[in-house]
Amino acid sequence: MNAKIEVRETRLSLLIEETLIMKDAGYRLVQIGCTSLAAGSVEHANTLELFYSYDKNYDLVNLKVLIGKNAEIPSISGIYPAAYLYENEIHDLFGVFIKGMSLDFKGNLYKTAIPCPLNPDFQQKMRYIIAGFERE
Amino acid sequence: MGFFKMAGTAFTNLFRKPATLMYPVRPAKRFPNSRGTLTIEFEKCILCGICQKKCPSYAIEVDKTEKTWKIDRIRCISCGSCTDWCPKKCLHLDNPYTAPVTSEFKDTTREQHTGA
Amino acid sequence: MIKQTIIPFGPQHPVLPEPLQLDLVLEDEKVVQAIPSIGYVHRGLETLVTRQEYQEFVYVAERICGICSFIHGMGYCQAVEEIMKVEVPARGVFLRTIWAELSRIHSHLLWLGLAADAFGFENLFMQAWRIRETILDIFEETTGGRVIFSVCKVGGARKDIQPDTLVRIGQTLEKMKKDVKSIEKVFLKDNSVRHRLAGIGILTNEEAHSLGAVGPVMRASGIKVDTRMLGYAAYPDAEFEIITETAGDCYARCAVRIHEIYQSIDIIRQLIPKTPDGPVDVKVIGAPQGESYMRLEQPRGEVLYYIKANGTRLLDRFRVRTPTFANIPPLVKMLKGCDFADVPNIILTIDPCISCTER
Repeated sequence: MNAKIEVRETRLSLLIEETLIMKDAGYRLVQIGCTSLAAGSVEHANTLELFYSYDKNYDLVNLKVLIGKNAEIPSISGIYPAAYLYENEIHDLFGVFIKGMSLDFKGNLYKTAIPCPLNPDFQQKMRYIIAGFERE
Repeated sequence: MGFFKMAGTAFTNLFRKPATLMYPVRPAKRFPNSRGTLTIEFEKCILCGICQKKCPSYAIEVDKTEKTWKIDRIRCISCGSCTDWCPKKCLHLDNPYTAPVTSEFKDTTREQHTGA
Repeated sequence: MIKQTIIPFGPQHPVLPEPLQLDLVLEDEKVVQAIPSIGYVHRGLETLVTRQEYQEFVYVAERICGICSFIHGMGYCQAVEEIMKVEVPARGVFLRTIWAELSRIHSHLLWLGLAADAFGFENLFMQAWRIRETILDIFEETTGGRVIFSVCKVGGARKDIQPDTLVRIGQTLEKMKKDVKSIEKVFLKDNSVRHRLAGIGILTNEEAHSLGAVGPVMRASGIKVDTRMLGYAAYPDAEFEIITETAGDCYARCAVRIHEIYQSIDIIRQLIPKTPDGPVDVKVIGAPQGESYMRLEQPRGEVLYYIKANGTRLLDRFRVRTPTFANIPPLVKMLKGCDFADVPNIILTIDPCISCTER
């Protein structure tokens, strides 16, 4: 069977629009992930890349969004109700601020010894808890 | 819809041998392929250090100047990665499993070979 | 206005194999809302990719979970092989598929035992695990380990199986079918077991689609999707159909898993005569560059591997989205409106593997 894998780049301002198009076309949300691009090249320091994966009839479509240091991402849990778990995980591991999640753990999903371990340029303090604990 | 569907199996179970072994009184069931302890033929070792680089749990230490080969038995996971990569084929994974020890003394859990 | 009480379920509970916490809001023995909370076994395995070379990382990827360990290793190896454009020899591909299907049988038998233990039927639990011992003996004979095999590597398999051993595996599985039939009779036809399972924890077709359920949970609600139809590994050489049920309750999920055991035995018996001769691995040199998405079918559902490589021997990013992570929102939906005494049963029917969920 020939299953297609498609990768598309998009912008943060068009994120909600594209998600609504996917939902109307009948796609199922597979996952939301995040990568840090700092190790790749110098001009990508402080950049993170979010990717949203959707599936329909064995075809995989990926939307990629590049975000900077203090970006605010709108949550898609109003459209796909299951997205709150992935967004909480990204907030805990990378320090990305996502507003409007349907169930917000406020940083308590994973308790790690250092905050936001997967983000090498994390310098801001976490907004809610562990006040006074900064990474060196 | 039925009743007493388990009765047949439960009855024949009375006459079967137990499915468990009285370990450690009886020895454990091992096959020829089973992975157990790591042993080294130290005369063939050339101290190249490849096994130290390929060990996923950092259990082996090779010192070329002092001519020693050390292994930490608690860290070894018996994966066999060092056995595949050794150029002189002097490492082997033997069948019997490492016997349990009751205290963590350095000479029971860390092994060292010197000389060559 | 009925008074509400909040009772925490977990993280330690005798029925759960791994720690998972659910805060249940109750009104007079009926559950009104459930709030999930995970994070008790988080080991941070995804960060180890930046410290271990890509060939040794297979041993870490295998140890994400104890029950579905082989398929994690196989998925990682397939994703790296796709980036490096390595062609695994046919015998290696067939052997990997046979081990993966045996892994699926042992995982479903383990689940049947745990489900029987959840509603108190200890004798059935022991019988299911006794049948599972024949599969673990096959594993130890061919790979050297019962739980963690360490037999998959980038470029193929590390051990070979002799042809007469393969024939003997086929005969052992055929004899095992009789034992599985005797416990299937109890699960699907016994009156008291049916009373505990039927009509509990219903998930409708639309809810399963909008909440993103995967695996037997999705197939028991009528959605006909199986990731093995993508055609990876040796699956194009075997003929099999997707098993679905329509009821969407605990009984349907149990029936789907039991029929999948028979289907896996059938797939292995189809593949054994077709296994070609030849080498099982190919030497791999160099370092990967690029990214790849790979999807496989684990016993619990669809798993996605994303690997990003930058040309050195250390990978950049390794992301696993495991099936239980996707099945937690449907679980929260299933728990609304059920009786308090049915909560352990419903949690076990999604087959929770929490150490996979939180790597």
